[in-house]
Amino acid sequence: MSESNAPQRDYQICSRCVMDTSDPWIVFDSQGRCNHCSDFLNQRLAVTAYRTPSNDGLERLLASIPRGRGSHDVVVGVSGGVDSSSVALLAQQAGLRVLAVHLDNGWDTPIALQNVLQLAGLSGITYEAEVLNWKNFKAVQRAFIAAGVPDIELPTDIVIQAALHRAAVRHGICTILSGGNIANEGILPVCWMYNPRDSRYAESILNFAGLPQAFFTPLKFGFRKELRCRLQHRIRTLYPLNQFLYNKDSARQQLISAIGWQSYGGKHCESTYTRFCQLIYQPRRHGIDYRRCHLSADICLNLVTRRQALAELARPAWSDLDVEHDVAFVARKLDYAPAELNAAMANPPRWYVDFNHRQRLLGFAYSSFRLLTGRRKASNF
Amino acid sequence: MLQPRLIPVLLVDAQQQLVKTICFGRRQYIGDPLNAAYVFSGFEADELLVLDIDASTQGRCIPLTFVAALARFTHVPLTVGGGVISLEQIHGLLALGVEKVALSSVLSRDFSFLQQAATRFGSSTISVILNVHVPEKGTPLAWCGRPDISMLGRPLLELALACQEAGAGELLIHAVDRDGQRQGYDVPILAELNRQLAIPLVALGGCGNHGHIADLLKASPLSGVAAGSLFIYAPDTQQVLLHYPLSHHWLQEQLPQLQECWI
Repeated sequence: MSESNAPQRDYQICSRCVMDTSDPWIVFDSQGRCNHCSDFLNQRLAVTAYRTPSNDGLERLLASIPRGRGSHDVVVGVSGGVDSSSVALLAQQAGLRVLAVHLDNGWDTPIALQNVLQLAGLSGITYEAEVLNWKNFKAVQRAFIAAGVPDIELPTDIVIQAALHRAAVRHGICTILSGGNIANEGILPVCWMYNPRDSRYAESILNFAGLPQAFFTPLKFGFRKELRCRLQHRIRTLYPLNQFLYNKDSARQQLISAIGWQSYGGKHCESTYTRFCQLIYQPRRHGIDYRRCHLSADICLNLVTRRQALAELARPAWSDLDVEHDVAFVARKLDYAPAELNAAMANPPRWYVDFNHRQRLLGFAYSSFRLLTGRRKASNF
Repeated sequence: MLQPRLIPVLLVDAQQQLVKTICFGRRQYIGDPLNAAYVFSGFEADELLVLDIDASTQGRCIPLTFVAALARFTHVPLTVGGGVISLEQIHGLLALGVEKVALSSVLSRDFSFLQQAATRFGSSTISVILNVHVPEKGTPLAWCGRPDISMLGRPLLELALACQEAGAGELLIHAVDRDGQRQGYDVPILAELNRQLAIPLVALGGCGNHGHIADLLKASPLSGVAAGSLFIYAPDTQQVLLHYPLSHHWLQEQLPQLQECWI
């Protein structure tokens, strides 16, 4: 495999938001507006309560949660970041018995763990950890770098879902509360982060890197497993942060006053690898600037102007980061020589289309599921 | 004024996995030791003790490439140990930026090595780990390295004084029977030993909560308290969650009271 199958395009940026052809599949309408902000405004906002005048959506959602058969009512995955910490706190404050599950994928930062500890100490929250076998997980992360795709965080996203559902089944809990939210994550190109439920894609990447499928087995959480969890175990995932106009800054303030939460620079920097992925790897190899997503969503929500967003993007994302130190640390953890990792980032990019996947089949499956349950489409898949 | 050091202990096995042992036996997988060291460094731990627990049985030294990574990506004082048997190895470890090297099993074969090491590199860089077993009756017994019946003959105090005499910079007293039990330190034995010795003592083995540290330090102002479980598991659980600042704050608050006990 040499050339990527991604379309070669002349540069263009959306006239309304700041998404551009760093998503090679971006589509512009006659007025130069892109599919991302159009979809965000026309489809995704509709499933949120951001524009509903009454603000009891969150209360009603949390009140509708059935009591668990065991000693917990809900599972919340806690990374130590703002979103998941907020959800855990909201659930705890609503009187739900929370099972807080932390996944250790080998990249936890001190601040993230300190925040998890503060949450774990609250009454009504029980803490549980799942520690991945680092040697195994390292091999999988290396496979994604070898493949050259931008979504090198996909293995983590997959195994978080696996861990949360495993915990739910084990404890007889029917509700998973997710920190996922439209306000921050409502814009994210498919090719920047492909579908974690598409096991064929992950397996094809492992194949490409010459890694036996046994490495993927402990992480795997595909469409079939999800369906079994939903139908047989009646587990559903709810998104409390879509029930009010979620704002990261005020959420941060809430956490600071409630649990002495500590802030860290940048979004998602609760993990060294996420920081590496978004601030170093993707910009260098794929020309992706992750901030475009958040800024574009902010523009759609009238939180910033397009001019302000462009000014923000003109500043380097990693200004307060010791890039060489971070690269050296990531390289050492993944058993690369620093020069090897730098060379990998200089190699031509590949995208999910360059590997086997089941985008059409899964798209059809999820659409059918939504049709049957009357849910609206608010995600990429 | 003395401020006892709080020292997280990281045990690393032959596959360079971080593990937690119970009574030197059963092992629980804890994760990647390099990231754990990076985390405790970020927590600004007073000191970090990293031991390769399979090194001496496999007849090798703790891998230098691993120690090099530890030294590079942490910025707190590091003590490392595991299978160190030669002056060259100690030199190699110190050259990587390690502050102290812990000796143990080598001394069961050649006790004079302690004096050679202390003379060449200075006592402040040489730490000795004594494993201690307390029989139901009689005096506590100590030895260096893995449990070995022939080694069990030596009374703790006698061996500790010999180490001090030979130039050990500090002694790590490891209560084997208490490892991973989280039932508390062996307070009377440690307090008595601390009274008899001039060099710094560090207690290891049995710590489960802050109360255990308070019990020990009230009885005697030890130079350091080391713990695995305390810093590795979320309080009062068996669930992995590395933490440190909580204990550090707690000790700061306790200091005035403790200092009254020590007068």
